[in-house]
Amino acid sequence: MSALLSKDTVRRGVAAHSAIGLVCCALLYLICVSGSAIVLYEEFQRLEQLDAPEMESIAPQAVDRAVAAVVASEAGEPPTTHLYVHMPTEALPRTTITTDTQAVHVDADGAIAAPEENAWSEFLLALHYRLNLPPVWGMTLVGMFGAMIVALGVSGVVAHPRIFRDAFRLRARRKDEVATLDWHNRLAVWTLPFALAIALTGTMIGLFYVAGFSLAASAYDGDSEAALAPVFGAEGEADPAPAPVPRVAPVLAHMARDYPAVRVSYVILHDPGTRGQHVQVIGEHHRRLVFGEYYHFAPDGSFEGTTGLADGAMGQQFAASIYNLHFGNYGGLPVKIAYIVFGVALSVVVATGTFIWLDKQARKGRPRPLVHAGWWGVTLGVPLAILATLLARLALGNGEPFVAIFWAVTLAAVGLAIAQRRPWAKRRLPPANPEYAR
Amino acid sequence: MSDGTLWLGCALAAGSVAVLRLSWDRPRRDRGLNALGWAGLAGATLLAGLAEGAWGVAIAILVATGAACLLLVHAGFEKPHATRRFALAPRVAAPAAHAGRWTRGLTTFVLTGPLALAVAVAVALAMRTAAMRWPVAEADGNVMVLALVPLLWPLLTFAMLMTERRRAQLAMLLVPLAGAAAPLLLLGGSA
Repeated sequence: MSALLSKDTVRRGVAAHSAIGLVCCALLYLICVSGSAIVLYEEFQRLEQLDAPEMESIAPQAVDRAVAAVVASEAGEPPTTHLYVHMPTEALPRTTITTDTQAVHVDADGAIAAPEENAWSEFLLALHYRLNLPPVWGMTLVGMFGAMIVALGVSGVVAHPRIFRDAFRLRARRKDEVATLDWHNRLAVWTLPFALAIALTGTMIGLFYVAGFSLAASAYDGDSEAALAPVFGAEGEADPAPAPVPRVAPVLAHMARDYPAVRVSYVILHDPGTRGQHVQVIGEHHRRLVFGEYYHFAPDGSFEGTTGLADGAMGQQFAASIYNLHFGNYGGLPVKIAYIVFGVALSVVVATGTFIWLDKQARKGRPRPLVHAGWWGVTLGVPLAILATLLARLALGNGEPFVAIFWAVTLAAVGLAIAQRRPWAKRRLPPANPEYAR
Repeated sequence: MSDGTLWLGCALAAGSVAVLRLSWDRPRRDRGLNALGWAGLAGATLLAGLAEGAWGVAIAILVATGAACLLLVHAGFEKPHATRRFALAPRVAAPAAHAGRWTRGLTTFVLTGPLALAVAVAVALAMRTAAMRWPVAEADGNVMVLALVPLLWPLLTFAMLMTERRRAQLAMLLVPLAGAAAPLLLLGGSA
């Protein structure tokens, strides 16, 4: 690698890497830490509500009873536009029905058991997805940071002239800045394929409001649903005239008979109780990256076809693989554990990157002790704040203000770190290794 | 058959990382071992892909990454070799950032951030427009836009930051923008 890149290229690579990293570091770290945690989204939901009924499967007739019970519970209210039945899966063996206004768990007989209480899991998901900001701004911002991980990956490779030679060199037991540099470089190199996959998929999700809306504006008269229709299918024609709510049992019977290898993860009723209604099933395919295939049914239960996410155009299959590839839910617990380990590694890379820059600045005669302390506050404060919100959830309940708790603890950690490190500003720094000098 | 091939691919992925570890630990470059390691990784990806498609490739890459991390953990516990330490260069307070530096930094941020993103979007839309005339399926063309923007933008940003001359940075924005304008204006952006 050193033969391929000149010294000047490496120097510019380091400069570019530092510039991007510094602009992004704090929120990038937050996104990486929350992303590592949200891999266990389903498991956290189970933890939040241990007494919710669980089952390996549910009888189709019980699903019909559950749908009828939920629809009946909303009688007299504006009809829901969608009714989602989450079917028991390996990661989340619960049957949960969600409408526009409520979400309830049902038992194996189809009776409503309890309201769904997963506010903390939803908070964590929103923190990672959109930094708890409104979706357009939050997702776009997160998407931008994802793109910067790609830029950091590329610039990091260019900035590292001995990338292969040092690939297994980790002098972690040295109690100096060399250990920090080694942690940063080694973890970054080996998690690069993971980081690029996570970053590109995350950016695709996050930058939809930019890329998708631009596509819609340029080719679909601003209609973003029309832009996505060739990929994920279109909504049916609405007809608000009342009609009986469709039965789900024949649909599930069809799936069991014609697609025995497909595991139904969701049954979705579009515009239930109207003449425009139709039924959609999401079926998971074993050992595929796609989140599933959409199976369409008429209100009378007759099969109308699939969208093509599993076997359609390459673009459809690619787009349907983005979510699972990003969140690591395509291979059970082993893959989730791998994602958590690599996600933590990526968080360490981001944290150590900023420390390396601060150390370098100090060696150049520009020490920034308060920023250094503040960064320690961020590094420790973010995971602590997430833990604090989890403890608040478990100890105090579902209705706690998790967003406020998270940011209060994070800011307190940063403030405390700065306050405690203030006298250290005059401390002499340890000598550096010449490796840093370049 | 499929399971066996996948397992073989995963084992080969882990083994190839170990071969690279062996190779890169030698005092002199060992081209043979290097080639064996890289060929092993390529073969592992191929086997896993043949067995289970993209899912298999993803699993094989996770196994390779996991194997490398385990080797790193081992390296982390090793006692470091004694190395000479050099005294810290004398501290000389660097000059404080002046107003011009901030302006320059802000300009760079604007050029490599929002403007580069806008150019990336324009290029992606132009590539879709051209591809639709090829033709490709509408789904493929639309997903192409969604996938290209996250790739083009960071690469453009990186390329711009690799040069210190403002003119070169501006050229990196204007040339692709002009290139994108041609298909967008001539062919339009129809569905």
